[in-house]
Amino acid sequence: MSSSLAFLKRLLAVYMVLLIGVALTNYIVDPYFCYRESDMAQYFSWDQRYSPVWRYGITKQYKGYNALWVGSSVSSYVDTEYLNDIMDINCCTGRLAGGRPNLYEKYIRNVTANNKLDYIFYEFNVPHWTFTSIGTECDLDTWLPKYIQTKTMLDDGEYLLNRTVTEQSAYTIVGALWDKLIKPGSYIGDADSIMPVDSYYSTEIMAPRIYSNVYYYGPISHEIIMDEYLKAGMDNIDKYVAPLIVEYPDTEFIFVAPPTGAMLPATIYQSGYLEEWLDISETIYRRLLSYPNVRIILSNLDFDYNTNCDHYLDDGHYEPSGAIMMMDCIASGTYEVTLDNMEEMRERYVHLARDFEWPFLKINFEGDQVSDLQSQLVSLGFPVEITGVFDTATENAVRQIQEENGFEVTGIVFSDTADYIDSKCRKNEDDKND
Amino acid sequence: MGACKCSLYHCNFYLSFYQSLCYYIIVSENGGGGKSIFVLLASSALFVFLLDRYTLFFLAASIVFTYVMSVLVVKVHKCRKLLLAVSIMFTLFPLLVCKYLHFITSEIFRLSNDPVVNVIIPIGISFFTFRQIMYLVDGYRDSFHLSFWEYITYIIFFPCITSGPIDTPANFIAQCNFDKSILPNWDDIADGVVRLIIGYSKKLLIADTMAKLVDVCYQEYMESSTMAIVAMFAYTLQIYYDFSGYTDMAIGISNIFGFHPIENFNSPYRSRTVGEFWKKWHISLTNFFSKYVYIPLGGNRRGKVRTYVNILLVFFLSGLWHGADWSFIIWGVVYGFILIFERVLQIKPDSINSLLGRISTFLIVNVLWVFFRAENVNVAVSLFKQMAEKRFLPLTETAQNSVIIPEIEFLVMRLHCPESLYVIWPYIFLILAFLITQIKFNSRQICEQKLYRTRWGVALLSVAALLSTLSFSETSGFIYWNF
Repeated sequence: MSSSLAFLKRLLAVYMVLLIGVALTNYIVDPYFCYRESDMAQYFSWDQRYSPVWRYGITKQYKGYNALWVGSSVSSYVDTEYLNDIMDINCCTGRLAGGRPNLYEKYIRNVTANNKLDYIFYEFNVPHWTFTSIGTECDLDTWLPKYIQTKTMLDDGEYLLNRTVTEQSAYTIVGALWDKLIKPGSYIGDADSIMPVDSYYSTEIMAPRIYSNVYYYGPISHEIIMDEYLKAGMDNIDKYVAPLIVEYPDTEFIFVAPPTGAMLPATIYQSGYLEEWLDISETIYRRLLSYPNVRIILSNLDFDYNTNCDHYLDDGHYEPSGAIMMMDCIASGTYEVTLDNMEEMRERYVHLARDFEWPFLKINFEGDQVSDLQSQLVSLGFPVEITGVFDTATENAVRQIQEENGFEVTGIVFSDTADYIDSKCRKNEDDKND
Repeated sequence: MGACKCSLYHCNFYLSFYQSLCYYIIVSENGGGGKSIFVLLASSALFVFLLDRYTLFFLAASIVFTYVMSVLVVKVHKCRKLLLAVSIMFTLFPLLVCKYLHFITSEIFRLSNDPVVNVIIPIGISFFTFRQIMYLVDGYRDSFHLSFWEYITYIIFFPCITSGPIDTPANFIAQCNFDKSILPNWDDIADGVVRLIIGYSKKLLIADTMAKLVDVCYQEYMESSTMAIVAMFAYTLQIYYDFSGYTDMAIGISNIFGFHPIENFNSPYRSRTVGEFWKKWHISLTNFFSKYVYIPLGGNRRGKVRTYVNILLVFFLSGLWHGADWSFIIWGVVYGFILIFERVLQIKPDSINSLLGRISTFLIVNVLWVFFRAENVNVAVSLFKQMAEKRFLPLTETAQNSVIIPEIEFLVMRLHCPESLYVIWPYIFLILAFLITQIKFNSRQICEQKLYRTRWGVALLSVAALLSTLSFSETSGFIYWNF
């Protein structure tokens, strides 16, 4: 009996020594060059794919480059060899930073420490920017529809705003409120720590913010949202971008649009805020263009590419060909925004937003697609008025159809529901003709 | 098949495991007494509850029903057989609905392909249904009887609820000394910990890596004959490591609590005949089928022809139990025919050349696992056609990359080993995994004979535990959860 106990003790001891050994070696070797930098600690828990810790280490090792690409998701498709060929440069990358301008700044500083850069390609992720620095809430009703059905913090936020608090959200809200003293408009949690993908923690951070603000200020008006959005963008420029632009006057900063394509402006158009959003964007662009070494290239103004849903991996990201399109635009200077062609840029955005055909329809959407759906519903005998606005009656009808036919009941018309409604209508017509 | 709620499972598994361990210690320190059965019961119930609430409610209803019926079967003197038949029918009914309704409507009656009703399948339904049937039949045969609480503990004993082993009620309850206070038995605990580490290593280090290779090869087997052969071979190893790894974990945890469930594996890939293979693979299921199907049908006592029919029937049912599809039925029935063939020719493990027997048995098993894994019969057939084309090209890049582990990458990138290591690594991995199945001592023997109590034992086990700990985050679901 005692020898079993002795064996267990020995096993545990060796195991602990090994475990501590591995951890210690990791710390001493510091493969990511950042264990001893306190402001990187918050990123240790990010998941592998978006591990800035890893990228951070890599950017410190680059030598002999004259260009740098920093960015998030779509940048991971950027083939530097292709870019080097078409622009005759030698480019390194700091990608998948989750759109955090503070990380981009770190990457840029790491690379500029050992390299003299002629170009910095900077994917500026406007949606992430706003969340990074907005302490108060938030442009949710503008941005949320775009993120529908995704597993991000926004997903949880959406449950809350639509008052369809799920069991999961309700549980986490209680948990979160319990721990945290909520002050009005206080900055609880950092958006950066939202990333670890697990919805429990994301809700934990989002929920008190939303609730504290709604509680103290009432429902958020869209004026506040727009103000905050502009403020967030400007703050980020002041803090993380402008100092670099000034510090490296010989480096050309080329700002590239994120891969949000047509869905983002189209969502905003659906919400009715497109003009205001364009005003804000214009202000931000003008601010950046006030520096001589800045260029802005908005490849997401390419109507044909961006309105083709086959070019998307999901509702907010290009597939790999999107990166080729972006690089071609950069090399040729297509869709470059200057102080002189702002008006043209706005027109293109409006065109994109208005004429984009949605792959799905949901509440508050407007337009011909909605009218078509409503007339189909009427022909199937649902009590719906053809208004061109996706209202509650329409949503109820959709829910009923989904429930009766074993689809997931979301009230949102995705292709499966749409196909079903189409086939049902066609069948009805055929029956009539017979 | 494929991943299910694995991370959730792990998290909950640990939770109830540690929690019940704590309770055990508390109870034993306070003199325990009859309370500990409730501790075990509560942790098991919590485990199931966290896993899937729906399953717990379903289980509760099912347990109450079966228990009442079993009391009736034991106590009532008239029409016992009818009573037994009725209760078995009702106990089996949910399993049949969950697993076969869709198959029957879509394949047999050629109705639409949409499910008739959306059934939520309770986790581990096959395994607990089988246990309940065992209890009913044992009650009928031997007037075997458990108290209500003992019965519930037997059914929902948490290490074994999701995928067995399917222990007999008599064996299980013989180990429950609920009246005595529980003192930690260090021998059992050491065995259990060793078993647990072996199980985790099998699952996390081998089966999960193999799973990636299998997935890629089954997708891209049209590329070359090599891919098709690797697909077949790798799945044979994957399913063994996955299920026997699970079983080692389940038995290891049971051991820590002082339980010794029936073994499920006994080095099956070292078998010399297919008959021997089935005595060594998923033993608790084979036992169940032989004791509760084969023997009631008459076993081998009613003449040769009837014996053969019985064997065929048992394997047909076994195939059907693994999945409602023709490929599973073919898998089962072919085994039936091979067993009959072995019986007719009097091929016995001791009567044939050991090496030849092992190789031929392993090849037969390999071929039949293809039917088990392929989505349908057509895929299986086209995989074999691909092998017959004899286009021996290197593995595709995706297949190659799927099994590259960080250690190999380290060898190439940092220690400058030749890059051809990437090309041969998948084969090395397969051969290593195969050789491990051929080791003379299996995990049961290692524990029973205390082979681990050496310096090498401590070293290997702690390294295995370390590597498993480091790969926790990438775990995928267990194959046998789906059955």
